[in-house]
Amino acid sequence: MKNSRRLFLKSACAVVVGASGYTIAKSSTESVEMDGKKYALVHDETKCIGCDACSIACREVNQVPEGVSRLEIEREGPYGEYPEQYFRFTRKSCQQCEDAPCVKVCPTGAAYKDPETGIVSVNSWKCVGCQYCIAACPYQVRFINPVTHAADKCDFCKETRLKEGRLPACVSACPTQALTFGDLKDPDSNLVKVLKTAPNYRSKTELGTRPKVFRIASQEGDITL
Amino acid sequence: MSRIDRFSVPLLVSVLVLGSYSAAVTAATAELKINQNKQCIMCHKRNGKMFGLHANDALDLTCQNCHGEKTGHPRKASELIGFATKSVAKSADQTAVCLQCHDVETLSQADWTHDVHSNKVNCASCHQLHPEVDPIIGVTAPERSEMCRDCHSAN
Repeated sequence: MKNSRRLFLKSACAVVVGASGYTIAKSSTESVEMDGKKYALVHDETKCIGCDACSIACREVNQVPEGVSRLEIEREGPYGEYPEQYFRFTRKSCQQCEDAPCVKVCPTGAAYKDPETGIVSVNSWKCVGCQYCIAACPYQVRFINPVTHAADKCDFCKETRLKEGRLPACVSACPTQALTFGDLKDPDSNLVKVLKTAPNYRSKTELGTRPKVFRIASQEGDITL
Repeated sequence: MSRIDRFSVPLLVSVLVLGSYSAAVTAATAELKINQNKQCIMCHKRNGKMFGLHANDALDLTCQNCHGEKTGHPRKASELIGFATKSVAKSADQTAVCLQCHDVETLSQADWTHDVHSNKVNCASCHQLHPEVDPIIGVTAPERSEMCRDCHSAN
């Protein structure tokens, strides 16, 4: 009796350990399995001059109707005293979250993360316009496209420029080369080099969405409470 | 008189009146007070006439208000100031002339770019006062962006 109970406990423990070990091993192989690219973008706010070349190019290439936009440059300022004044520019566009809330809430699967590129996209024909994604996005970058009536946002020009093997429209339009686009998994890419050399930050990381738009902060400091 | 005539005749008359009026206006622009400044216009007939907002008779401006006194010009030294990037006058000196009337606060409200350029480039880099309409007025967004690119370029 005693022995059989011990045997039972031992074998039960072995099963538990085995099962948990298997799931851990499985999950680690899963993440390795995805050997696609992981596209990301750096916006160097120290180089940005707020000329809006990026947002104009974006509108043209992706045929974004007037009144809505996939990309905006937000201007803060002026800081400092005349004539030594300056502005701060921040990019407002999809942050390409690794753990995207918009994808999680989409009931039809229209919002998805492309496994090949890691880009969060919208399948407009699947979208029913319920706007859950618009409500869920902490960066408030989604909108209903008045032409397609589907949710829309920046997809790093996946359907336009990347298809042609070119850089996203905003990146090639930037006159000061404030934007760097590339594959996070490629250690030789310009993107990784920039990220390794310059201190950078991302927006709202505390939410755990793991955004893939990195920013290099403006140099000038200022106290805002 | 038929109904059509009742309307068409005054219409025709008004068109004629308006037409002659606009002709008079163009004639008047050539004879703006500022362009009768013999001291300057005698030589600068082709490159000195003023048609822009600043030429308005009511403003009562003369060439000298902005460009300075002729003194020794053209043979000897003078304090004349030219407004352009190629001008020998420093940007700050050129800007100072405009700032005599235009105050910083109003310029800032008109366009944010004034704040960050005022002590770096001259006003003439973007503005032209002599033509009837300053080309920067009503510039489209892509054109404006292109103007930024003219100077701010990493390549």
